[in-house]
Amino acid sequence: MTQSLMTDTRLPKDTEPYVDDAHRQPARPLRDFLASLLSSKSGLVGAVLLAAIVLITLSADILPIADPQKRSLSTRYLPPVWLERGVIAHPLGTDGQGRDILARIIHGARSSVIVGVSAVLLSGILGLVLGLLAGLRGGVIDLVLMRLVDAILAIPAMLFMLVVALVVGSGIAPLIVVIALTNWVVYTRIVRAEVLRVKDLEFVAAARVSRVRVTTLILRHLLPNILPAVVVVATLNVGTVILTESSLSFLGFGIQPPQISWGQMLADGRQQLATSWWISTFPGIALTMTVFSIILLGDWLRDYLDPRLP
Amino acid sequence: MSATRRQILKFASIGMAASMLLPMALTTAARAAPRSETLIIAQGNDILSLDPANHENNSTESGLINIYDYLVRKEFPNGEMTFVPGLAKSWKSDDLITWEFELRDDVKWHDGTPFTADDVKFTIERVKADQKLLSSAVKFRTVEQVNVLGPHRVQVVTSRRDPLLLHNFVGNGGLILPKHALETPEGAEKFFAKPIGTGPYRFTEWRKGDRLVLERNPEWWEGTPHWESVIVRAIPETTTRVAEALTGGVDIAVNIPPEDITRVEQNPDTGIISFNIARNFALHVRNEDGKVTSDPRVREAIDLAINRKEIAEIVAEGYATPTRGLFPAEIPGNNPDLTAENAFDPERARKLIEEAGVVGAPIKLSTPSGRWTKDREVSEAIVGYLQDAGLDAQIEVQEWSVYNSRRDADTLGELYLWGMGSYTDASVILNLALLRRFNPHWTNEEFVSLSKEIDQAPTEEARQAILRRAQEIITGDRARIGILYPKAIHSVNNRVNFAGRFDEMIPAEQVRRK
Amino acid sequence: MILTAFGRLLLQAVPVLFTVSLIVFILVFLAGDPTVMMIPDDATEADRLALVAAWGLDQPPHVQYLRYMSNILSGDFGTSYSYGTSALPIVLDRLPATLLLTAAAMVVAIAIAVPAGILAALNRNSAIDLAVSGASVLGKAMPNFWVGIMLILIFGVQLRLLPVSGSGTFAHLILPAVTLGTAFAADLAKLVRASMLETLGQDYIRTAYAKGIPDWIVIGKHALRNAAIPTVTMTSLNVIALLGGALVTETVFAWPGLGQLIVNAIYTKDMAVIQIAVFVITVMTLLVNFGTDIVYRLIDPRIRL
Repeated sequence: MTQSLMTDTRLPKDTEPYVDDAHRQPARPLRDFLASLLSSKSGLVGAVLLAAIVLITLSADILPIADPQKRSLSTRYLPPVWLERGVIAHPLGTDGQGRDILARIIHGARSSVIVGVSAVLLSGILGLVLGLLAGLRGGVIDLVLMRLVDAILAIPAMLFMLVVALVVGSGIAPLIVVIALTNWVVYTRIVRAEVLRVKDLEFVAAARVSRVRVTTLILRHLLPNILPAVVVVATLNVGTVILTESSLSFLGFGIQPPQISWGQMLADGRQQLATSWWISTFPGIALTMTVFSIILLGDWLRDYLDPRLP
Repeated sequence: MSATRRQILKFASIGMAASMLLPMALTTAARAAPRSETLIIAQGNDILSLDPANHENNSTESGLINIYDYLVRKEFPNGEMTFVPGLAKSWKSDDLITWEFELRDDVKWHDGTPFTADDVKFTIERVKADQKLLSSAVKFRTVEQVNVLGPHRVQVVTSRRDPLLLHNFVGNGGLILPKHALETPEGAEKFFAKPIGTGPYRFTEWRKGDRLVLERNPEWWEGTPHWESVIVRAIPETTTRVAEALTGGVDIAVNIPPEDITRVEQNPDTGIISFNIARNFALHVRNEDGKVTSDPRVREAIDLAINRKEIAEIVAEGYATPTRGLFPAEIPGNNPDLTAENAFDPERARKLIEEAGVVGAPIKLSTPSGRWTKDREVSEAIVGYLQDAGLDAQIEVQEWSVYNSRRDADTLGELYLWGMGSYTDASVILNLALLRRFNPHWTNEEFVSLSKEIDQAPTEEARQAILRRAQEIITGDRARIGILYPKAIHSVNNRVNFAGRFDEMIPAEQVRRK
Repeated sequence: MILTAFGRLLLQAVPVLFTVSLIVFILVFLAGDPTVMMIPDDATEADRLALVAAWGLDQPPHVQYLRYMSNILSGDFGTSYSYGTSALPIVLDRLPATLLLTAAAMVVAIAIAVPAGILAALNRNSAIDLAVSGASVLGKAMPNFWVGIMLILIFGVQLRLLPVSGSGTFAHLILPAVTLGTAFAADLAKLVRASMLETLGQDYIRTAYAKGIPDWIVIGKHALRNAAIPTVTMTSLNVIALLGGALVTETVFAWPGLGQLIVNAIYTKDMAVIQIAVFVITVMTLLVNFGTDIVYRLIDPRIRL
């Protein structure tokens, strides 16, 4: 799954001569940014949807919704309010234990967002550090790290995650570890390639008198150059992670109760899809819409930032 | 430009050729029996091995019993287990040490070779000798000698009195294998690529991860088998299995989730069968120091706090029997006094928790999810009751293999749910080595002495009395808290009759066309 | 030229395969003793230890690994714990089904993406464009297993048009292939759209437009040629992801491929099977990369290997 994100990374490089992104900053970045976003239909749709989702997630505690953990035998399998037997107290119905679907979706969004963002942050940091290490140090460290990267990239991500999950177990924290341990390779590659490129630039070569200055110089020129690529990859990555969590839930390694996640609701409710469709359909829609808006936003970001992915 | 056009044409033609070849490649296994003459059974897991002694899996055994035969068979008329003749016509033992079996003399292997006492001796000794065989750990442990007394008479000598010896000849590792075909230079791997047995159906094909295909053995010793062909399919995903049952893709589908029962019953072509099975759900409780459950009052409170009837009715939709016991009634030696009657007393549970001074104490209940029907939902319900009783109960769900590792490493919660099963006798409870695997910190003097007495029990009556007392001790001290006996729920197509068996086997010969 | 590429493949393959096997070995070893769940409930600890010894699992990990590697070098790829037989044939038996499913999923992805991409490009920035890209992205945003179950319920149970699960005929292939293929149509459609737009922007096409007789064959050919190299790249990368997606899809549809085997092997910590399966997949990945290089050369002779 993760690899599909990297789809574009090996596309033939554009032939136009390279212009340092750091020197191509627009004069009024925020205004340009917004203008570009507003003119892109899909980017705008993604941004608005995503903003709405994040807003609802953040306000989960103050919204007038039911307790997501409250079981009730008398309210099992209630359909959504607009169907016969539906009640206003449970607008999207209840599951087999009488728990409110809407409340669970809203609270479940948290796990999805937490896992998505933390896993991406963690793999980003890990990738950045190791990429810098490999690029700057070179030698044996570089060799070993890159063999590791090649190896992990050659294994389907889902397969690798399952094997890691066997070791660390399931739950929110283990899941973040599982995903981060799989995903860091993407960032390592980007960072390392950029370090190697910057290293060869003339002014860096000229500054080789003092070792410290070279590192600082590289870092200073490196970050603005890799940032767009990292931002694009990371954005799309959050979407992939949310999807991955649902697949892991399906295979039994996802987020487990008492924590709630969309993947878990979807995987648990799949058996009732034919009898009580609302149990897994609504979380499915929530998940799909979120990932959908992330992809739209990410695609637009890619066009806007136009990163040179190595 | 023309080069490019050629390339594109080439790609296109390769693509077209490939797409035309696909269906042809897919329909190689054509010459199948007509659907009406074919019985299709859908199980939850793949057949693991065609070697009866090298798997620990009910579904696998359920497939293999159609190819091979047991020496004796188990049947469960009126909920009581009895042994009936199989390849052995009769058997006797005066001292429960020396056993003599009179074998049928009209049985032939699928290759035409006659079946003899040598095959029985070979099968037993093979399991005992090869420690890599999974059945080696549990099968024929007390057997010391196997003597061939005649072409169709065999004597088995045990190391001590073993009232349970016959159980060894049924279940995983008990199916009889042909000596002449296995004792070849090519060995077992070659044999099990296309095995032969004495059973009603011959092996045709095993597509791993998909299906086992069998065909009628017209020369079966018990008459012409009922079906021309039998297919045992593996469909791990429950939703898919139910869908196959509804659309008539399979005749029998095992383990239907309770919430799909109405759907299967309302479908014009299918119905539900449900029956007792050899399995029980129990909470295993930690009693060692430092745990909140080391206080017997807390353990008792947990026992009292659980509304088993509600769990059986609501979570299992009525397809389970609430109980405090550890073995269902069909199992010899079970304790019938451990019922769920008056077992639920939330008032007293709360009082005990208060007395013990552990109100609001955290307690963790570990559970697998999806290993046994509704396992996690049962655990979730229990957690709810414990919260009502005043404990800060939390659930911890782990994937099955992780769960097993944690159990082995002794790092599960204060409570963990276990659905022990596939036992044949209550005496497993007194196996101390086994007890250490599941309750590593619990011990009891009387229990230990009972475990020594059991082998010397003079009569079956006395033996069962010891077993009943053992269950009373372990549940009385709440090292294990019985919750319920789940029932098997299968979907059966209306064109066939099948009642279900306590041992969860589905012998094709017992499934009949209406 | 092909030899050079082949040499490079070997140079790349050996260290990758070695690292992969080491990583998998370490992880599965850390996951703990597989015998815990192999033995029946009524077996004792002593029985388990006997099994542990019989499998050589009581040896220190480095000894186990060295023995494993030396066995591989002598052609013995180990024995499956759950199947009790050599792991290699178990894995190879499953390979054709997965290759078939992966190929079919690729066909589905292309079948969706090419018309969708062309349609979107011809109606650039219109509602149709938005709808087409939206729909293709939607396919990518839905969890695989959910799509699979929905398809089963609709086409298998409600309409009774297609078999629910299993394998054997062409009809059995359709639902799993669609489930797996839809997830990859989005990226492909985006590429086709971009290539199409580039082609449409070229002078001679504009001229043709002006004359009112656009040559669709010419346009299509150009656009597809522009899309060819990125598509090949994407396909090669997607093959790994497809194999990952097959884990879930094969389980849903009881498709007897590598994916289902691996999931089960992971559940049971069946080291030998996991190792060989990962090994086979890695080799396939490397071969696909190799094949990609060759195809580049065929499409565009200017690219040197």
